Amino acid sequence: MGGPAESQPTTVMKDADADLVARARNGDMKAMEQLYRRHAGAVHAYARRASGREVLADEITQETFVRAFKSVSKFKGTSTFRTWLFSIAINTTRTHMKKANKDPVTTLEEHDVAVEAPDSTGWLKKRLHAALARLPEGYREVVVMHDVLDMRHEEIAAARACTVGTSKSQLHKARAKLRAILGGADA
Amino acid sequence: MPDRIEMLSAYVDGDLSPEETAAIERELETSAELRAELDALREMKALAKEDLATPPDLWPAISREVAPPKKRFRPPRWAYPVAAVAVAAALALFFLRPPPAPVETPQLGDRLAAARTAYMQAIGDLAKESEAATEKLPPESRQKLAESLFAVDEAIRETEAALKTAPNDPFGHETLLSLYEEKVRVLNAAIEASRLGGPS
Repeated sequence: MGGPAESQPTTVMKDADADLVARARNGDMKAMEQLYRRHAGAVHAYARRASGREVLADEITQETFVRAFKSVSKFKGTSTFRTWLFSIAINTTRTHMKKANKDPVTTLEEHDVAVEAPDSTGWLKKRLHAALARLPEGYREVVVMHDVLDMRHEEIAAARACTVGTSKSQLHKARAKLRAILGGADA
Repeated sequence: MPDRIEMLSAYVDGDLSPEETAAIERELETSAELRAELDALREMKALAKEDLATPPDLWPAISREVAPPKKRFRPPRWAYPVAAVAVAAALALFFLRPPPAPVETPQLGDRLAAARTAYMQAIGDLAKESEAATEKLPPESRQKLAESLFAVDEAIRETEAALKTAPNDPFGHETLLSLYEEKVRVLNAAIEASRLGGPS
């Protein structure tokens, strides 16, 4: 999976960003800013959860948008802009993770678990995020996109350049592994 | 158990076939452990939902990286050749007068204002004397003078137009300044020519 995955369109989706993308192609900075404002939250959340490192999220988000806007002229519209943007976010996150060369288990959040009151929602969330960081890369990506960001499998599959079936299968395996990490089931 | 959890996960998302759904539901009726696992899965899924809080505003940094580079002011392609043509024409008319002593005004705005004043003054002078001046010149010289003035005027127009898109470009102002000075020089040369009665 190299570049942005435009080659896996599943259905023709109406892209709410089409007008802004057309303007961005012509170098319209206002249009780019609007696209950024629309998608920054999701990309940042993806970067935060998929990298398992709060500190990398800003860097990954910034690089994702810079790469997207610099190559927006190559975006042919065979997927939605968001799908294309996420394919860039996925690759950018992978690159950063390789550079970081650390096991995502050693995240700050895992240490933070200790300071939360056990069984509080915050504590449970942090346990879950720490467990998420221990998943294999592909599993983590699909859980973050589906369960954290509420993306559909069609969109996830297009962004990750895989089939919808693979996306679903990886999600169910990932959840089973999460339950095992959290101590609810045998691994 | 992991296989059962995968099945439960697919059940939660509605990804099972009707037959598989019926089978897992029968199993759920009889297995408290499986029901507990189903609840845990649903809770985990709900907890995973992310509140898409606005991240720090990264747009200023992003825009700096993606903004097209500011176009450096480029003078009209023939600005310099035109200046050369004007000088050559003046030389051909033998009326080149010594250039005025450079004025030590460090501010570009002051220099430009002074050049504009001289430019307008020279035009005014030439308007008064132009008929006499051009009549005293030989036809070839008049032709060269007209060509030179036309070329300089075109260069000035283009430079002024370019400055409208880059009004603060000091290089553009320098170019315009030099063109004004060039035109002043040519006009003064023509006036001087008329006083001397044309080339001998």
